[in-house]
Amino acid sequence: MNRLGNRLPARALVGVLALALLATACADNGTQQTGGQGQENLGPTGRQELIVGVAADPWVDSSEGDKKRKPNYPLNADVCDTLVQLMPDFSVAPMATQAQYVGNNTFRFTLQPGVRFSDGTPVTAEDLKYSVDYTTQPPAIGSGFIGRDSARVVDERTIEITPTVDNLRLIEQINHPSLVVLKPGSDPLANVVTSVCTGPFKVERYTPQQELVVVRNTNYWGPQQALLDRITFKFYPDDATRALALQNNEVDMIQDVPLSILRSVEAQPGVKIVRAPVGNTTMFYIARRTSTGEERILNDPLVRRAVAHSIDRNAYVNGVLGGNAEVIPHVAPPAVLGEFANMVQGVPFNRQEAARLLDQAGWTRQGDAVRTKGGQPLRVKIIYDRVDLTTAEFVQGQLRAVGFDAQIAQLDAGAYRDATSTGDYDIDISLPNQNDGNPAFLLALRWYSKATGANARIISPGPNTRYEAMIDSILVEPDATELRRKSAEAMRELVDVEVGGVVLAGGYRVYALKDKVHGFEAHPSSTNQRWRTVYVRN
Amino acid sequence: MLTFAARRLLVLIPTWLGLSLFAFTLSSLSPGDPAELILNRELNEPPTPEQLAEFRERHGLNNPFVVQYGGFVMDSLRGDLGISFRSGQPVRQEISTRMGPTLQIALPAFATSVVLAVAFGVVAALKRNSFGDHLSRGAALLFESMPSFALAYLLIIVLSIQLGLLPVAGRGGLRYLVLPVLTLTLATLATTMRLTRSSLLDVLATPYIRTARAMGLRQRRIVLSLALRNALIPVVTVAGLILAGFVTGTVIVETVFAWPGVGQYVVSAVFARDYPVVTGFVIFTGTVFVVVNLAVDLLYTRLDPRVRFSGRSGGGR
Repeated sequence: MNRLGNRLPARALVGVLALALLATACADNGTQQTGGQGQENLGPTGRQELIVGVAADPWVDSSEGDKKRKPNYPLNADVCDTLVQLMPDFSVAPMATQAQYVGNNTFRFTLQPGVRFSDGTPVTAEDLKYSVDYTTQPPAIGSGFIGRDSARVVDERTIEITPTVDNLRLIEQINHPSLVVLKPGSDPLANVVTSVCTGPFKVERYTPQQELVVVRNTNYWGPQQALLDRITFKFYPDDATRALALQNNEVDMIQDVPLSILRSVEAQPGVKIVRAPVGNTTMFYIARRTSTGEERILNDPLVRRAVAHSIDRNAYVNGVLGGNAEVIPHVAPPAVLGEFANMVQGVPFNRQEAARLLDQAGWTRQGDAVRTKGGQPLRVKIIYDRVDLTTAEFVQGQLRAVGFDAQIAQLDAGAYRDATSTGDYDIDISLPNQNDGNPAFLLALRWYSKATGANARIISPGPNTRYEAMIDSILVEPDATELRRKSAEAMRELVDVEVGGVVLAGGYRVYALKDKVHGFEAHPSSTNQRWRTVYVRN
Repeated sequence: MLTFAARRLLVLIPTWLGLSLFAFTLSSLSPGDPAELILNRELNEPPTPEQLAEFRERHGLNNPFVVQYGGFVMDSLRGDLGISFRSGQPVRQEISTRMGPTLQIALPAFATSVVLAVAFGVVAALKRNSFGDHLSRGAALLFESMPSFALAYLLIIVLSIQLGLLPVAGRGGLRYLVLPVLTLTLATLATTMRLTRSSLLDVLATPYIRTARAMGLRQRRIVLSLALRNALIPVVTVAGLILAGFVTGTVIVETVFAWPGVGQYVVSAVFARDYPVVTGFVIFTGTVFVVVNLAVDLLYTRLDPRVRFSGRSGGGR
């Protein structure tokens, strides 16, 4: 008899105990996963390990500043949290902290409840200050002009950051994964394995140029632990080898499937292709003047507009890129402009209009010959970076069709940097990525004459222009909705009116996954990719 | 022998100096400002004129060319190949870190290539114009004609994908070594094999070999004890060049097989205008070739004593 005077049958007790044990065992196999696809509801089974084939190790032949950003940038292994996070729609949401602007060029970051490091210790404001100081010396990408003394502790859970220059865009910028929450004493430059962060994974080992292995952080503070036990990122500098590794089942998924082998990868049995929303743009910058102020041929607005009218973007997207991109007029992913994206229209493809504009500008043509004016040929120099020669040749062909003598200069990194610094080019084809939530990021970085880069003076519409005034206003705009509207206006001014840049396509990042991999949500910004929802069904 | 070695070394030193001057001059004349390039990467924004000036001063980029070159030579002799502009680490350390993986495939590939080439070359010479002779020469020529990346992919597709015998790429146990070593071996087999064959045929036609045959010596002894030693003299030269080439990095193979060797590293340094790495590597390569050439010359003296005695004064007895 027990204390209550009732006799409980032994068999019933055993049965209850067995049921309890069974329930516990089922819970240890992972939570049920719901997602967009029907089969996502089935959840993880078997050993939760994932092997990802990525490109070359980004930290080996890099500067000290870049090495400090292991393992968050440019490959993000979801080990460290940022203060705020960039969502797939380019909005900014709290992560380790809640952020707010408190006036006077100052921003307050308050720790979320329960944030702790992977070793179980709670995060404090002093830890946040350490993190900010660590990653701003030297200044990281997206640091928003934060200096050594920009961060100060307000109380145990709060810091304030005042950028070194007026910068109301800090919250949109600080979600960049180069600035993460680090435990004091952690130094990824010296040893990434012993560095302690707050993310859903932690580093188990890093072998340069071979692999980075992360394991689940069982002390993760977030609402849900990662589903994977281990992720191994294996480095394959060669694109074809990466695809062959997938085919040989040595990896479970690969990042950045190059277009040249996409078809053969797609054809592999048991492989599915996942494309992220538009996160980058293939576009070209137009040089109006050299660094010494000498005018270049495309300073003429008629000629610039003719260039824009000459490009058949649909042919580029469908022909060159095989449909793996979108025709967009925006110099940044349209999602970053939100509800105002439709304000930007772009310059439509129209060869007749291009020819008419060139005639109007005095560049005449005999038959299919190169246009001339005063005995001078209509010659433009094309340089390119981060795109391949095929894209440059496409642009060259489009321009030649309307009478440009378009010459491609294949430059290495140093020569390219020289050309963009001096303005020794007319068209610079590049592939900028949007890796933070600032809709005016590229607008202010590239075409704003007050930006620090020499490039800005070469391609900007110039001071005392409507565009310049728009950017001045954007930089001091505190309201997020108004910021997007103004950014859309400025982008329209740049693309539709000034024709300061011509967008060829909005690009997708392409991933190839074995069918057993589920829960992968491709982020348009690859540097903000998360792995916590991924699981495998073996 | 020591005198011979010293004489050879004296000849090679001007070669080394000329090479270093050539490399240093070329890298200095290349367009582009390393200060701006490196600081742009470090700061993630364009450097100020003051920062540029400080960087140039710190790295001696403002010194006259002769001073820069002289300093470079003295440092190189001490083993100091400078500091990488990109990583801030000593170039010697960067190269030596990557030499291990390179040697891990270079040495086995060299040994395999030479052994197989000599063996096949001997058989081809002895079975001259036989089906086996034609087949082996044709196959070796085919592999050597193929670009190394194509050969690498072919081996991956056949041995990894189709047959499932080996991993595609990466660095791990012995299994990971097979494909890169095999690629390098096949790519260099033909030259050495054909040279061995033709050299042995020449030696087998000499009077002393005919005499040996007339004396009733067995074929095996004639080939292995008498003929091969002389036939290997030109082969040693080629083998030395192959070894030096392997040791100084094989970019294509390292890239395809994700092998973290020195070849990949140097190519990236070239594109990034990391001058200290480029010039340091040229010095390293030149030194390797000098040492290998010296070793080859010394090996000659073992194979052909006439070389050892050729410099002595006085006539015959």
